[in-house]
Amino acid sequence: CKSDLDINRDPYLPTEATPKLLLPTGIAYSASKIGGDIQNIGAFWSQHYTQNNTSAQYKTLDQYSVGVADYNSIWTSVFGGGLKDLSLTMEMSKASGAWNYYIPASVMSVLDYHVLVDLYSQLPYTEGLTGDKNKAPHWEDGKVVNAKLIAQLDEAISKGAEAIALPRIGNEDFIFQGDIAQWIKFAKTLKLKLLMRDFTANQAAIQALLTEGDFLSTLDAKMTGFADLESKSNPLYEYDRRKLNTFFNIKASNTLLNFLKENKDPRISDFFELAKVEVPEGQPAKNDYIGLDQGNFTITGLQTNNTSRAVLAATDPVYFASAAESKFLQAEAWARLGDAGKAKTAYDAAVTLAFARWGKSAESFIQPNGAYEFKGGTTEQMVKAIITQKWVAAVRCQAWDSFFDQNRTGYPAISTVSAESPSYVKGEYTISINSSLGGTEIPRRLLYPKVSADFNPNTPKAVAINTKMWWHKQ
Amino acid sequence: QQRTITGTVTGKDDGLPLPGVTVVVKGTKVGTMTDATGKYSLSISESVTTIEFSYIGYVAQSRAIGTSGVLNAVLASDANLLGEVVVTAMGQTKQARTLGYANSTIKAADITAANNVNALSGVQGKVAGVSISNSGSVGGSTKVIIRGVSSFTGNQPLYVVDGVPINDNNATTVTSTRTVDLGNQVNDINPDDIESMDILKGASATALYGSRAAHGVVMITTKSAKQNQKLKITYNGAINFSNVLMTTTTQNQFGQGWPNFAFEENGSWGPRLNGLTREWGTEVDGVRQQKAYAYAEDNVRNFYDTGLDHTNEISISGGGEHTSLIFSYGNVGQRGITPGNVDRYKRNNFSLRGTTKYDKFTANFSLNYVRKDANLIFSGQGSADGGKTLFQELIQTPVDINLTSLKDYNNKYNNYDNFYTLYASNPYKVVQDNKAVAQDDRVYGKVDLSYQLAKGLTAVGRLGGDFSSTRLRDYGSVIKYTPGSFSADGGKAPVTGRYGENYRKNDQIDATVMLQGDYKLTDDISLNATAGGNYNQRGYNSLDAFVTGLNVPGWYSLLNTSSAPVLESKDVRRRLFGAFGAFDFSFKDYLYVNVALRNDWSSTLPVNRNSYFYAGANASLIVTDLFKELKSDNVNLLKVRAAYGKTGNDASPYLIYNTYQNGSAPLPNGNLLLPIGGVAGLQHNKRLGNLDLRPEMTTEIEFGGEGRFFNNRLGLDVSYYNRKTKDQIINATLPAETGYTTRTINIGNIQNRGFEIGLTGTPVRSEDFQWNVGVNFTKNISKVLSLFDGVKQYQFYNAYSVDFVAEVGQPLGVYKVPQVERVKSGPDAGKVVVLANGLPKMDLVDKKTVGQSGPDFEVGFSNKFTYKSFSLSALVDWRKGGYFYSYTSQLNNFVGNSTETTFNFRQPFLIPNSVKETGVVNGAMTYAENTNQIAVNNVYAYWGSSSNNSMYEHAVLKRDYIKLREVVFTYSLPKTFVSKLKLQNIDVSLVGRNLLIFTPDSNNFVDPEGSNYGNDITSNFGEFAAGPTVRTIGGSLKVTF
Repeated sequence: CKSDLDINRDPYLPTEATPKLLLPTGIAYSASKIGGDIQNIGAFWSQHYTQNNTSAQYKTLDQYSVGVADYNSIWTSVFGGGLKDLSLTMEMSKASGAWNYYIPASVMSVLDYHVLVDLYSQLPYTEGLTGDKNKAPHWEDGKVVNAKLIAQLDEAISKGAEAIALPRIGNEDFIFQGDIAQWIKFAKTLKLKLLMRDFTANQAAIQALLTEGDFLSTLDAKMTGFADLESKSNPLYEYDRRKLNTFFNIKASNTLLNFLKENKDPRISDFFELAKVEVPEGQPAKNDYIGLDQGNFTITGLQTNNTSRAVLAATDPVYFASAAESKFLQAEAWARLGDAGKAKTAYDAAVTLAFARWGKSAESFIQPNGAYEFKGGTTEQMVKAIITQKWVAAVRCQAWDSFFDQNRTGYPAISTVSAESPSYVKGEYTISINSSLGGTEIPRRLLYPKVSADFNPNTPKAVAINTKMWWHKQ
Repeated sequence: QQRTITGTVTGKDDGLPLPGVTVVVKGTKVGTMTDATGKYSLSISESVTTIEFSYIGYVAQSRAIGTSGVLNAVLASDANLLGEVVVTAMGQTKQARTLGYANSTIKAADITAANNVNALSGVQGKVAGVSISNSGSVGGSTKVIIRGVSSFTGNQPLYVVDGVPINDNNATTVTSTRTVDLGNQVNDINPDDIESMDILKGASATALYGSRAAHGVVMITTKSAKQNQKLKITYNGAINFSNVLMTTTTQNQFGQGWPNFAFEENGSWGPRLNGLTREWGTEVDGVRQQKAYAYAEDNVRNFYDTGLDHTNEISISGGGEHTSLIFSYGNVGQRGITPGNVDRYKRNNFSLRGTTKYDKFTANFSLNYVRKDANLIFSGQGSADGGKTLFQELIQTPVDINLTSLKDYNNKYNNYDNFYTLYASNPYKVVQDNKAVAQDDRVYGKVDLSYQLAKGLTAVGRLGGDFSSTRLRDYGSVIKYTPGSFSADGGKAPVTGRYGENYRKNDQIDATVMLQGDYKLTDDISLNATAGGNYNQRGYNSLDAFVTGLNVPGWYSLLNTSSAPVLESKDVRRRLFGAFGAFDFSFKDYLYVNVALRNDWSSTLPVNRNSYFYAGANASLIVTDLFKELKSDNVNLLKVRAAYGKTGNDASPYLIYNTYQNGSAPLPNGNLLLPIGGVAGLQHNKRLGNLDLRPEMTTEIEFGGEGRFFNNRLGLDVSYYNRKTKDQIINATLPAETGYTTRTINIGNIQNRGFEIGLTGTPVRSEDFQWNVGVNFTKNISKVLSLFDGVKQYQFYNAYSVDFVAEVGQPLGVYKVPQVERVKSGPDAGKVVVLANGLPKMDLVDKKTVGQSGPDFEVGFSNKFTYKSFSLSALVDWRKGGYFYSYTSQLNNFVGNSTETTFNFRQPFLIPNSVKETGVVNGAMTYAENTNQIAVNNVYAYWGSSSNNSMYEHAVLKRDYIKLREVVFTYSLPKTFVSKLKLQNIDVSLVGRNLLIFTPDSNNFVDPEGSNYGNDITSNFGEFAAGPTVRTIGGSLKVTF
């Protein structure tokens, strides 16, 4: 009788898993949000993209009225999803000494935590991921979390030699196909990025790290392997282009588009589609790149095909860190350390890599009198030049990182005049036409998610979306 | 001088002979009883003039003796009489007077009076404490909620047919994109097979069914043939026409445009309608169509066709000395109101039931086969692969565009390429392109053997089985646009096409053995005891496969794709062992005490903690028999009763252990599904298992009283109950930072208290004319007493920004909607903060509670007039209070079709009592009186909930309604005429169902009863572009050979 009642296990679900099967899921989950919703939020708030005026999908995003219940799936998919699978991978591989799985899982999880802490400002890093052992993890300050993340990176880096000695894992590492040396470079790049959040305090460590080198320099930390197939494509493409009833929601923001046009940047065709220019009856048809002012989804008269849509491809990789970003970071570090020469070398390499990503040459742009020439100057001038190019490099790549950079450095600057004003400088942020924030305020964070706040008494009290964080430019 | 009177007594309803009828000389004890064939013979003195016929459950009759020696009687059943025999737990029969709880019996005539194709709809509005509603779609689900919702899932009652539980699975997948409702399985029962239904509401009544009876039990007794019964044939036929009951009342002032006139818009935000002829729609070959810029009256109503359903039922019954058999065949065909004959439902029922008796041995058996075929259309929002759905497309049609003008979808202006708008699709074509086809075979039956071991001691063994197999296919047509066409140029999203197949088998085996004994303990006290055991196994397995993105249009195959099919297999099984005992004591003939005990062992609970115990007890005191002096012609009966009971609910299968599953990362739409690039992955199950799970427990106390007055012409039945349901098993939300999103746990404490009042009266009763009145009143007050871990709110469901939650201190199931930001303090405190564009600023953190889904009360009011062979009855159903979410309303507001969008003639306006922000001074926001008008070309943004979140509150509508539920006019053809045709009975009826509906002014959108969310708690949420409910008018013919 007792055994007759012991039939409560689902025959179709396994109760055991291995790092080989958990690691790819952990990475795919990270990609699903960082390359999906977070990429899209970043692109809207970095004014790469804006909402199409004849549809409605991302209106709340574009008017900055993102509430506590919006984008909660970031929280559930990253914390409740990928991070737990990565932490299980770490647990299992640590126990068996499989450092070749441990390092990718650990570095990937640091990247996840880093994105979350910069989006939310605090994180339950230490007490999280323990299931019902702790149903109310305490949240920790971003500064504390960053220090712990750096420690986690150091630990991963320290296992590098042991991991390289082990057989190389294969395609289950969606990012470097088991190349641990690249993972170490990724880890160090990430470490530099975290240290730069507090340049003054970490100046010595940054100097030391730069001297040591070994950052991402040719390969990108990106998830590839997407195909133009249902449920197998780039996450933003999958949900915006394949699954929505209207796939013309994401349009060119004039902020970016006018900057590209002014500088005759050839990447414009990699970022945006041509639109149909309204011509008088009888005249030949004409196409051009046409954008919308940021947040101007209430404009009337423009048809769907009169504005440029963002180019997205099913096979676009999801970038977690790129070689170009690594060079921009180094350029900024050198600039802040006062070494304009090294800053220029890194900057030129960064812009070159950013163009090369689209099969374009940056040569004419970075050479003397080129549109993107590095002109040196004060630290602030150098940082502005670096971050402005980083902002363009982030399009269709790491738009979320541009959002963080603007918060951190203040570039691109927020224009106090409208885009139509003669004193408007192309490339500066304009205020979303339908902003719900008022003044020149823009969003600085996501609100603590409702799925956490409703169920964890230790989740911090709500903070307004335009509240700056400790590492933001005040 | 003695004379002999003979005769036959038959029942009025079925014309069958009644055995055991008491036949006495009026005012004496001289009498006899009818035999098995209903015949009697009575020797009486010449002076006797009147004979009285009486029988339990029937209205007694006094008849004058004529000169003839033959006196036949036809007795009418009386559902209101307490002498009635009712069916209680485990299929036992008892006299209603002995019950210490509220009992409701519904007779065949009531169930089938209005030609319902499913039995439970025939009970709608007729029983206090039981809320029944139907989704409205062809073959759709019926929801039965007894004494309020108390669990977080699985609130439907247990259905027991002739003592054996049957499955009531619901094959509805609830999504906001594409939903079809295949109905729940209790709808498979042929209503004409049902003799009566007894609804056990309280925990005390259902305790014997233990963990399956937490939400009540519906005991169905089927018709049977009697021993030595002559061959009898009945035929019932009905035909009904249906049309749409309620459609949205649209505004009639403004036409196509958004916000200016545009040829190709799908909303009514354009200029004022002026009746002038103007161009509209797309330009084809350089020419646009022309039409009057005028309101299209009854647009949506005219879109629909007349639906048709028919029922044919034939039964053949007869009995010999030992065996009696009844065979029935029923066939139902339904055609819905959607044009193009695309929503169809067919059901064929075959049933063979019988009884065999040899001395001390009795066998009851039945075998039923049901075949269903359905062709259904989708509701919801539509999807990129499966295409659009009908109702959504109807809503977003400008009020000046005549829907019927789109009927010819091959017309060059109406086809895919040139349809007038990029944002919607031709509704006539949508229903041709996308459909679900279902086929279902089901066999269920039972064998029930009993043997009388000794006088007063019987052994019973009962085995039931229920097996069904469903095949569902899902079609979504590929849509491509010709390059250069309006749709292609405008970037209308092509539909990639979809095909899916789902095979599912459900099964249930239920075995019971029991001993029943009758003892007289003393002269005054007798005991009826039952003890037994029960074994139940239920399960299903399914294989689901679908492909999205079809390469070859029109070829529906899992191979027609470049991608791989998405597959899912399931195999779910559960077992339950139960041991039970029931002890019914009676003291004299006025006090009855019933005790029921049960212990269950369930496979769905942790192996070492899977045993749990329930008990129930109730008592009934017949006051008028205890104090006989109270009894008079004005007070016929007084009864008081009290009950206490406990029932429970075990878990669903597979919630105990932690597992892994195939890696699938959700996206805002769709997902990222491993393997990717040939690499497979597993993910941890985000639901954390629980090795400490306990069963859910409901305890209930109930008090009530019954009275019959004025020669039984007035009856009153009142109940009060208070039930608390604790330890609900739910997937409770865990904050995701724990690494999991849910954990199966026991939570909460939900209280349901309520009154049920049943009133029956016969204001007029004469030889030829009778007027019967019935009122039933139900009031249920629910309250969430606690949830878990200090959590104050738990979300059941959400659509857009409307949440449907359990909130501590509130009734179960309240709506939370976004609220505007208001000034917190200072002189402007409480005023609405307005943005530069004049729209309100939203509170991004907190939402407000609108109200509950449950009603304040429900009333069913029926009247029946009988004059000679004519009868006319009417039932009015009133539901007061409560709210529901209506996507139909939300979308009508968005597209400017709803009447409320004509507010202020769509001229610029200021949000009343509002301020605007004037900047931060000393760390605090300052405000000034609002001068930001909502501009004329932005009025639509005010009414659109995506641009003005406070508008979601307008999508939560009042659920109140009054319906004229049933009107039935019946004429029984004169016996003299009928017998010439060698027939026994011919009844013809005219029937109307859902003839009228009245809703509050604020709901001029949809019938609140319709839902496309199945029949569990989410269906209380409301509707998401659900189809309309229908009004039916028809006739029926009942013939007994």
